[in-house]
Amino acid sequence: MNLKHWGKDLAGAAWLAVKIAVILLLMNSGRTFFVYQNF
Amino acid sequence: MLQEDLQNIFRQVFEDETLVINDEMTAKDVEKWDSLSHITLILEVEKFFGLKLKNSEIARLKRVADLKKLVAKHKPELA
Amino acid sequence: MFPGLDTGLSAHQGLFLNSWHFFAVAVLAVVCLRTIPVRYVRQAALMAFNVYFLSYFLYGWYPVLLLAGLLVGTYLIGLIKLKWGQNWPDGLVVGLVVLFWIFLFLVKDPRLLGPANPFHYYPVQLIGVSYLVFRSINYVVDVEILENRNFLTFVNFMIFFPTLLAGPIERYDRFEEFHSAFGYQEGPTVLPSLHRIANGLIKKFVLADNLMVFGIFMKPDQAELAWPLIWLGVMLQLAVIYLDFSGYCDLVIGLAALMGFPVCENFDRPYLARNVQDFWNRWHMSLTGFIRDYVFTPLSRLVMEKADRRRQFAWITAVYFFCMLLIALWHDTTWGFFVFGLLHGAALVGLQLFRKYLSPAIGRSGLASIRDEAAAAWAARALNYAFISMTILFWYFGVSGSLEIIKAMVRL
Repeated sequence: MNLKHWGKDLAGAAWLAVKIAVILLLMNSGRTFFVYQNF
Repeated sequence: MLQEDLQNIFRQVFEDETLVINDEMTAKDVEKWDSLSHITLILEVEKFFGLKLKNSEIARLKRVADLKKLVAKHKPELA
Repeated sequence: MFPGLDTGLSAHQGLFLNSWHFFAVAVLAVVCLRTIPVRYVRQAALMAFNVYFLSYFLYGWYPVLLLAGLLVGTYLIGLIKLKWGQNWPDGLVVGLVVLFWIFLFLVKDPRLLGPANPFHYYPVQLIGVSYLVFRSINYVVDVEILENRNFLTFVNFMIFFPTLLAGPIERYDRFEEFHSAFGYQEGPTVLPSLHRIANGLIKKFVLADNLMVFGIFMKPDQAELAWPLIWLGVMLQLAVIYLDFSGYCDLVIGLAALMGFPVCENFDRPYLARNVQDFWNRWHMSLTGFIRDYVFTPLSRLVMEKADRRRQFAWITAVYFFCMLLIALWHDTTWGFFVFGLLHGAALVGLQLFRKYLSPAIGRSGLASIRDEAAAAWAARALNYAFISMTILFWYFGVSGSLEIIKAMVRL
């Protein structure tokens, strides 16, 4: 069992969880399309 | 010698007598290597080896190794 | 007129990338593509996902027929070229490419050429048509050296759902390599890709969408704002567009990576660009690369082979300019974008002239040491950022509107 690897992955997962929280809290739910979308 | 000939062409196109090419070299590694000098390079290679390369083949050239492979493909006797 | 800023799409809803619906589709797609070992079943599953996603953007029979026509037509042209193309003169292939471009312009702008335009009385809106036409050109031009040219691979390539809406513009040979592979993982593994997706969601839906209101596009009576606020709005607008587009790219690149498809990059810190050429090598890179490979290279080769040596510089300059105009009009066929193309083309030409005539002189003089200072690089970046921001105005405000704002910016 590679402890150092586990630690890094855990930190990475924790950081991801923070990002997800930010997204869920602050995301603008307006249904806009992307500026570069060609329609 | 394919490597030597290519190196001479590179030196001529980029106006640098000290330039040494290696397989992994790309446009990022040589200052004067932009889309235009790329074309000049191809034309010189075509002229020197007597080849005609397709545009689709040129588009795929990223490293010097790719160029060597392409020339060798057209002129197997040089490989 | 400008989709990202106008949500008045009444006829069709689309599948929004920040919806739970899309999240479910994405998860299912990743699971299927990573767990189905039988190639044809896996590829058919991908086709199902692609069609499902696409269906949310097709509002009626017109776009369906147009898309079917484009897919079948392109594939057929490919077959014909394979069978008889060896004897074709170069001009014919060029003509083919030009036809695709004409088709694109006619579809996107039904007013073009008036009633002579087949879409004049029957306008059609096809999602991602600008990207579809580029993939078609890629396929037809390269068809002889492509592998796995079956119709299933071709269609999956054309309507691959992560890149359907706005790219990046991937090439057939790279796509089919991973379309055939299973369990292959190039580059980052799961966690980095999830981070990439999260970054994209933050850049687009947290930052860009919330900051949008502060950009100059959304401000009313732009030319009447206080001078510092006009500058702020203009500078911020480019940042918002960057966050929006690069955010989307992060999202789809991350998702495609999870699905087993490494998609090419579209951005490389464009805020670090020192001039217009550097900018286009960092912004929407797949577009620049496409134009370089399928327009610039063939045209430049022609010039270098056929043109009189003394005239070559002038001709190449014209090619640069032309490419810039194409890039601009590919975005949208309005006068605003046309002027945008003129400005960027002029800047590109100016850069070529500077490099040819002024740069050597600077190198010989004492100014060279100033030029090489880090501060000079930052000054160039700031100036370039301001220039690009001002040209972006033409996307939204048209020619007269943009000039009004620019005049207010320089206090005329």
